[in-house]
Amino acid sequence: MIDFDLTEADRRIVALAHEQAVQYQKHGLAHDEDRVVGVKPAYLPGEDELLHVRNAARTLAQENSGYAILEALIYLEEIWGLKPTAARGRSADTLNFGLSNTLVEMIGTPEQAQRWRDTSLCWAMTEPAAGSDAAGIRTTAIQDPKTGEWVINGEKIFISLGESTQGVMVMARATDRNGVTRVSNFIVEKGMPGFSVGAQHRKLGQRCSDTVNLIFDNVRVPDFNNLNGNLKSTLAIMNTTRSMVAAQALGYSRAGLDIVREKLAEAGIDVDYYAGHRHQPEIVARLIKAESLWEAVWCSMIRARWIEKVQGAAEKLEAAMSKAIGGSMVRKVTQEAIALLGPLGVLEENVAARMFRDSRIVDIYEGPGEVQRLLIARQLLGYTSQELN
Amino acid sequence: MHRLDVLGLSLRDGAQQAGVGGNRVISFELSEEQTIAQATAKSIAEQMLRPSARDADEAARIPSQVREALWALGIVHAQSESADPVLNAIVIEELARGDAAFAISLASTVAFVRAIIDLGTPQQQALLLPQFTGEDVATAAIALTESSFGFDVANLATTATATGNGYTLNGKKAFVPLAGECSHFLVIARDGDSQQAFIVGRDAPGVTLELMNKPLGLKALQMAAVSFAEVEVGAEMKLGGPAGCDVRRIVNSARVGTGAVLVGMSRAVFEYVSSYTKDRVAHGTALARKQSVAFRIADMHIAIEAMRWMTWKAATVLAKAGRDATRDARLLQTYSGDQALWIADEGMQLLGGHGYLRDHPVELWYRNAQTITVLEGLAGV
Repeated sequence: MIDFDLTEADRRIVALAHEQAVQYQKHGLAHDEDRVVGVKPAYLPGEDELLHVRNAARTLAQENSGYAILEALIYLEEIWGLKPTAARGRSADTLNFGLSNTLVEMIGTPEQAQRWRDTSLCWAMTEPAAGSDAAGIRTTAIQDPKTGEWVINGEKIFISLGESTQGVMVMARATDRNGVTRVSNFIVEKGMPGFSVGAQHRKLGQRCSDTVNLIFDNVRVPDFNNLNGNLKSTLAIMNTTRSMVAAQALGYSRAGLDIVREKLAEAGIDVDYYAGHRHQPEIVARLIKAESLWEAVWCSMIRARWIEKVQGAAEKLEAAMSKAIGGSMVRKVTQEAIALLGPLGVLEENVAARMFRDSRIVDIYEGPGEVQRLLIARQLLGYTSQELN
Repeated sequence: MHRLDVLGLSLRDGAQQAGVGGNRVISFELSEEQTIAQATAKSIAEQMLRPSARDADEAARIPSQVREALWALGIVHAQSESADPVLNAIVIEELARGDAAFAISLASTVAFVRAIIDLGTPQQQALLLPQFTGEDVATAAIALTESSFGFDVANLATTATATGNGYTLNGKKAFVPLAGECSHFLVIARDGDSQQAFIVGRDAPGVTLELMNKPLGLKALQMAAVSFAEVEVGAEMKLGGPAGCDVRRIVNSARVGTGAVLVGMSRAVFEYVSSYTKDRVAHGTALARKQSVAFRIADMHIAIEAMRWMTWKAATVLAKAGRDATRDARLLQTYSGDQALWIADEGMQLLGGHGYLRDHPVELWYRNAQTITVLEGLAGV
């Protein structure tokens, strides 16, 4: 039966996540430039407490709207609250860190999965000349015919959690001892000779997150560190993260809209949803327009997550759609929040300014809006990647 | 941790309560009834509505066989038996994919009937509803929009003045669908500080119709201006009885119905443009293979889907007792209005010169989109 209401238990889980997020937001503004990589901010609760909300959602998912949906709603709250992206236990986060370990499980052997289960790993695909187009990868791994070891050379850029994790799952163009070349993945651990981490990137936003380049200079790794599973099918996991990025867009933009609503209320300006735009102050009509974009993304995100719930796996088209509309919306709405707040909005002490900076990456990473639209259009129009690129 | 444990316990209780309540979880799953209604509406839209749309627009009237086929769907009849605004929205979307004017010709009567059911007194229901369950086509409409500058639902010029035993209506409504065929209008008027709805027969003394024979779009709908000059309305014809009703519900329902129309019409544009740009070759490749074209087609689809989910969401809120759908309906109206006009506009652009010709339906959709997005009260769920 078609319904969009959260159940009572859904609501309580979201309320719990919100309660935690309110605590983060109190500290989040200060926790921007002062990050020390690898050090957990003191205000961040312990892992048990961080996990509590997700565990409650997992436990109750069967009886409610499902973990696929709840996970996104929890994440939305955390983003609203500027939850810092420090390295944490593997289940405490949705993106980045949890992802690479999950990938090891999916494309590695059971022995490999066991070996790195408790090792924090980042994931390195992007290179200076290869972003969303993985075919352009230039990092090489050449197998030594004598020892069976692999020698890795190349540079990876924009790697999230690259400094604070214990190792990396790196994608490379691999040539085995028989001279056969294909794209494959390797685990490289900190301390291996030739593996180094570049300086922290200085970014527009997301300043407290760990983003670095990784350099591989004749790094030798044992053959055991080569993960041989089918990465292409495994990358369907990206469909899951794309709708989570839509949830992220919703979190950032709601934070901006919340302040506008708060200021309107303080000023005694009523947001009347009955009246049309010709009978409203411009600021209200513009707020409603921004809210309507937000609502459209909420619906698209929930749609993608619901499909994931009922199918047991995310659907590429809907995932890409939610990311594309989320990316467009968050740019427009975080800008609009500042436009409506006026000079107040450009003060960094105000969360709207922070959201404006932090959120701008949403339409860029995990496949920029343009790449999402390519995927969507190919599917809608029945074109291959050769026919439409 | 203690705080969370306590909450954890109550979470469990909440889950069990939700479980007892049945399958009320977030879902996009159509019921069997909704699936059947959708398929039936789709079929009539493809076989009859789309092929008749151009001629009906040129002739500025809806062929009687179209009116009869729409009536035979039984959607209006079904309103008294079950209230399912989502099903109504699903059907309206499919019909509007065939043609928006045809879809509204039925949905405007749905709007009237739903208002009587949702807000009318038992006497009003007993008096009016039997007229809408027969074999012959019955028509009625909401009279809400006024054509004056500055018109807004929150700023109505039409007034209802209390007299000894009823009300006197004065004002002029406009863009009332199929006004000449309506047996009744539900007139939304200012009644002191509030707004109220009044059931007025088309033939009541003081009611005059003036066909608006040159609207930009929805020409087949034979929309008319309806004037009310010192029209006496008995107290028993005030919707909801002496205390009146919350007319926002009527407006909300209309915004949802109009949203459904825009979703269907936008789908028509999207499908037509996808097919055209795949066939049309320029500079060696199909238009659709160029990013600037393909991306716009992708954005059309993204927006259409979001519009539909917003329509359904607002419709589910309307369906629930004690819930106010005003915000959902307004956000839907804003988003679907902006997007539908953008989609029709881009549809025109992607067809190039051909889009400007009346040989293709895109110019009709473009006119309809602009017309629908400025009118209120056209359709209901």
